Amino acid sequence: MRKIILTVGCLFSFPLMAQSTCNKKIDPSKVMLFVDTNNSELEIETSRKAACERGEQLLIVPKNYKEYGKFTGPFNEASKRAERCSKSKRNACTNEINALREATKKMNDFVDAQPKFDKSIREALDEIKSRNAKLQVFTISGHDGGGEFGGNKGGFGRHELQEVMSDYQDINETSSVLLLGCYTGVQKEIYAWKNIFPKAKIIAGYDGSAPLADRPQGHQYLSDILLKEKQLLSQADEKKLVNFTKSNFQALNQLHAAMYLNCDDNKEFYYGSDGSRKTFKSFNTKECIEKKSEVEAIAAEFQKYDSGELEPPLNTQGALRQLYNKARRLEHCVEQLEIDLDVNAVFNLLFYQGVKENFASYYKDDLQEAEDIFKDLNPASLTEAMGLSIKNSEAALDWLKKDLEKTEKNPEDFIAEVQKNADNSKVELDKLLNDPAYAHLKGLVSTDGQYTGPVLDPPKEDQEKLSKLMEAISNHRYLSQSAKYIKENIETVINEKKESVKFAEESLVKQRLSHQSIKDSLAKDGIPVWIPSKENLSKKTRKEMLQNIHNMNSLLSADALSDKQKKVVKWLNTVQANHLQYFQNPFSWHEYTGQVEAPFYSVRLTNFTNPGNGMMYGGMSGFMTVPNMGLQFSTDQGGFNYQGRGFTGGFGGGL
Amino acid sequence: MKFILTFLLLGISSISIAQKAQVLLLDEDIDGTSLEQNFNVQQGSTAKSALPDRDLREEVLSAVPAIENWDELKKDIFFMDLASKTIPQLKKKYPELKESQIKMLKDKR
Repeated sequence: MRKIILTVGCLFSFPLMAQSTCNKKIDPSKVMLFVDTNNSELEIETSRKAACERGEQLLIVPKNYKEYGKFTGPFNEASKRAERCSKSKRNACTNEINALREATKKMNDFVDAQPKFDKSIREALDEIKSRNAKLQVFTISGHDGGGEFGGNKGGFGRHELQEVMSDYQDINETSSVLLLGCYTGVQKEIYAWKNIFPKAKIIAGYDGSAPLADRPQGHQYLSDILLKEKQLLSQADEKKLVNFTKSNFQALNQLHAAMYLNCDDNKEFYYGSDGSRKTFKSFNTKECIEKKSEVEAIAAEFQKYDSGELEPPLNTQGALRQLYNKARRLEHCVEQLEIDLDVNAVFNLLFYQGVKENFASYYKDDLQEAEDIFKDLNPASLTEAMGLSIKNSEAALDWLKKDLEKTEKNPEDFIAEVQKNADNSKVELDKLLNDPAYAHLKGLVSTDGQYTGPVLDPPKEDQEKLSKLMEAISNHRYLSQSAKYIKENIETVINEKKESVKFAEESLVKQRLSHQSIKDSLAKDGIPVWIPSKENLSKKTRKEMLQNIHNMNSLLSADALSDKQKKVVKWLNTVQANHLQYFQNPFSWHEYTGQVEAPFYSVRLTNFTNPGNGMMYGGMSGFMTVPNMGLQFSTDQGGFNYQGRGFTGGFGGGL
Repeated sequence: MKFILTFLLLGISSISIAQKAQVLLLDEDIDGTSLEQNFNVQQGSTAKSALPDRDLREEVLSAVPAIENWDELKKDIFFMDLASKTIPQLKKKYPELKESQIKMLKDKR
């Protein structure tokens, strides 16, 4: 019954909404769809005006978007009040906190009760279909992370949309796609959205942070695209596009705007950051797909040099040069295809000798200081600590094997054990929840154990309780989810346990090798690892250098290094990663002239701050990049492969 | 997923394998303090390519047709040399080009 009412409601409410303030004639066969996952009322208004000008209908999802304001408004207001109160520090802000708690609950309850986005979008598309209309413009607004939009109204991603749109291909005439969120206009996103909307002539978004939904420049950008679409698409080349946008798209230069255009005569262009100058450039959405296997082959071949399987040649005229030429020509496809190939790294490996010489010269004094500090090392205590580290790893492996054996023998017992842990955690949690001393804190912690209270420090007397409550909630959530997962996927869990054993076995082998290598180095040179000085780097292969980095990481797990020595190891890891693995080097480092240009990111040993406290942790070195996060996890040896450059495994150290 | 699950299972275990992965912070704006509990945190930099803008390079070098046949590497190095080397140095390194061409390209660069 509710469904019928909804459908009937949709039939009338959508067109009425769009036409309420429009005096122009509306073509009922052309529809614009706006999906709002956050507070985008001003953007909706801009779209509404543009829809009127275009003579098209505007549908909005969620259709009751204004109703959200009844809850988000008081929530925002309560947040501000609580924040103001905390700044004034005049009292415990109990009233403000309670008001905020109430507003949060009301908002969450309302959002939870609304239909999910995929359902609402399907309803809107059904509505378009039932009127024999076609979808012309698709706009989505919210916070974005890798194609997933979200905000106060919930979340929705392009993967879900792809699934939805596959059922509505007959009405998908979408020529303009507007992605109003951060990083929505980067090339790989353009590719992904082009798959959802194959007839798209414009895909516009941002290649950096997007403006807040209430920023006028953002509205201007949206309006310009919707109203100047035809003029924009009639520009036949890069120069005309630059000239046209200069006078007609002023927001383009004020924002991190990025866009794909399929102009008249099927000429494709891209405007956005692609690692080079930002301007309109010719863009071929088909070319890179056709070249995918070629780029993959280049990346695989490069990996051999990067990993040291093949030593980078002294001669710059051979196979690696050809590889560079191919990679450079296809550089524009690398990001689009999401293939892990760094052309800058190929260049640096081609000139590896020059890079090493420049590196060693630039850090000459630091490397000498590092070598001097290592001379004070006590080889006996280091050997002893390494032995202990191996023993710990052996014990861990033994435990994993026994655990696997036990689980394989009697999976039901294992399932019962984890369920018991989950049940115990529930008992612990209930104790707290039923404790009157905790009653006032319940609303401040979310169901996943996160603090959701006001942006201010809770009263001191509550801090310990809050932390206990958060821990109990997240512990119970984790254990109950694990128990459920294990119960439903016991075969997979056993296989994962087998893989864990295999991984631990391989890691142990590498750990032993690493420690043997350190012992050899100690016996031979009196220091556990070699310093990447000019002399050493010229004698050692790339593979030996990577092994040396791995040994350095293993050293960090041995509790025999002084703070000074740990600092040296960490510094060596950092500079080697920056210059010899990630190649963050000036172009001039490709040849050694005797005069060394300072790198963009220079880390001197004297100024190096010692991160962490040097606990007994093993190292991993190598790399895994996390796009758009600015994080780079690193590892270097064996174990498992990851798509990222050289995330090839392995724990180097102990327990 | 596999990787995550491995840690999930290890997490359940009664002994914890206390190994830390290294994290190199590429964005100078990221505060790594909270990560230090679980990772060996190192400060790095946002990945930067030192290679010249290929489109700009092509635009500048297109003024001399002879250069069209050069491979990518030679073009890149020449383009960077135009900015860092003097005309006599360039003349010596690239004898196949006329001094007038070098001068024109250097000005254009």
